Amino acid sequence: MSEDKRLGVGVVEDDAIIALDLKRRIQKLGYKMVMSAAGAEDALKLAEHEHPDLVLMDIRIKGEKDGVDTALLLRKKFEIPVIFVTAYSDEDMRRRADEASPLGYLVKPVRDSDLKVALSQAEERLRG
Amino acid sequence: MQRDIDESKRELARVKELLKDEPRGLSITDISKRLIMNRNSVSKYLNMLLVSGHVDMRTIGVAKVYFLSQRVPISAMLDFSSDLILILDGRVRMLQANDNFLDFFGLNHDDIAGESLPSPYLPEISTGGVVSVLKEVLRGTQMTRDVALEKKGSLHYFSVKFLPTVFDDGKPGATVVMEDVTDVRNAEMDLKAALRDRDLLLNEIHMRVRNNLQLISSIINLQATEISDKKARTLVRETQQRIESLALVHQTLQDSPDHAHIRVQEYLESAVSEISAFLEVDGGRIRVIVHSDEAIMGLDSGIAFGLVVNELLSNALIHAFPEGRRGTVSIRVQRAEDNEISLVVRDDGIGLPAGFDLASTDSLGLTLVRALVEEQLRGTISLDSNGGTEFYVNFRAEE
Repeated sequence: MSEDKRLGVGVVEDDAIIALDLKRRIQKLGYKMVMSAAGAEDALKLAEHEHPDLVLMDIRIKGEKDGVDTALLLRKKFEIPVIFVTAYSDEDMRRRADEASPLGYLVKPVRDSDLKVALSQAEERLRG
Repeated sequence: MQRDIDESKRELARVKELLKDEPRGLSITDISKRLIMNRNSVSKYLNMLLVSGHVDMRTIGVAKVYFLSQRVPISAMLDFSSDLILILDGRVRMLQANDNFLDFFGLNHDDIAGESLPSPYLPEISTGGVVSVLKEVLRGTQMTRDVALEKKGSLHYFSVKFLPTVFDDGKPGATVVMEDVTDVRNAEMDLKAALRDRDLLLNEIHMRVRNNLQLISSIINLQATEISDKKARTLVRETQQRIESLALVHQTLQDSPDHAHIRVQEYLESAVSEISAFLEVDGGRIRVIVHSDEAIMGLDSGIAFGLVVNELLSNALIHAFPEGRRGTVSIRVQRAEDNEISLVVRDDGIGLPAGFDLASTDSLGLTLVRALVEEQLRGTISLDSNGGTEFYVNFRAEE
């Protein structure tokens, strides 16, 4: 957990505008943005150095590894949990995503109220 | 006793012999005269021959005329069938198989004649399952099974009928009729694969639409942070809410079994929950009730319907209960024949301003509602503002 007691959040989203919007909204809600990446490789490199408390992970990201693969690696290598952000509600994908034991799911388009609830619930679980 | 039986056999043979030479048939009287046999005996022997299928009878005028049956050997008939046919006796010994059966299994008649099942010649149908089915069949139960058999690396699918059979001597047996349904099965599998592809494609389209709606919503969000004017910010938020109601229609479509129709009740429940959350409605102060008949609608009607519900519900939640007033909003949908939809959004709030005219209002939300109902859904809209506000929308939804 970060020393200033604010949750350090990362965002993995390959759409720059959506990523920018999420980052600003996360900051507006009082959390600390510690990393932002567009793909799996960058996410893993940044996570190793910045060590966010949790990552908002888009399931569909460009590259060989999708958001679920990246989430599994983040948890395995650095014990960093994720909240999945997705426009994808396919059952198979959901089952796969569950394997990463996410702290929650956010459905696009993400509302402020849902983002707030998801982050505060995640914070409670992480601090609990 | 034996003498009687021999006598009967001889007389039956005489009747058959006589009929053989009379292709136009003979009456009982004719036979009686020609064989010098009394009519009762002739009638008795003809009945026996009729029952055993050796003789046919036709009624010509008032006369009953008897012919020798035109019988074709069963083995010849079996080979005309496109099915694979195997005949077994009561001890599951193979008596006869047609050419299709022998060709499929690469056998000839000599290989199987007298062989019992299970047999090393027919490992494919010598399984415990088949043998136990045959035991049931020999007890008189007809059974059907679907079987897949591999031949030269490709799978053949059969619908197999196991038929209880009684032979001429009255002993039980079984006939196995295997209908090759490979083409039908493959066509079914192709169709299923095509439907799966269609589902995946529709899911992908809805996913991309929602991603794009998120993109638009994000742009508006980013822009909204730069707006200090309260009224302008409200307008931006309303736009964002309209986008979210579009996204909700796509989400409902994506979640529906065929990815092409929304279930109205499910959609309304989600819409109420989302809009109430977006407008930060105090659920203890304003209650929202939803009731819908079983109704579904396709994408075009669904989008317009979703936007109409969004505007009317938001309108009620924002304007009907000022200064902490408590109340209820109800949304009711009824479905009549031909998917005629009747939507009523009612609130028991303060009502509309005196002299309010839907046709000339400058409210963007209600202007959108009118355009959507009248132009897009080709429906009608009216309102009643006595003791609250009640909007009536009627249209025919595509199914």
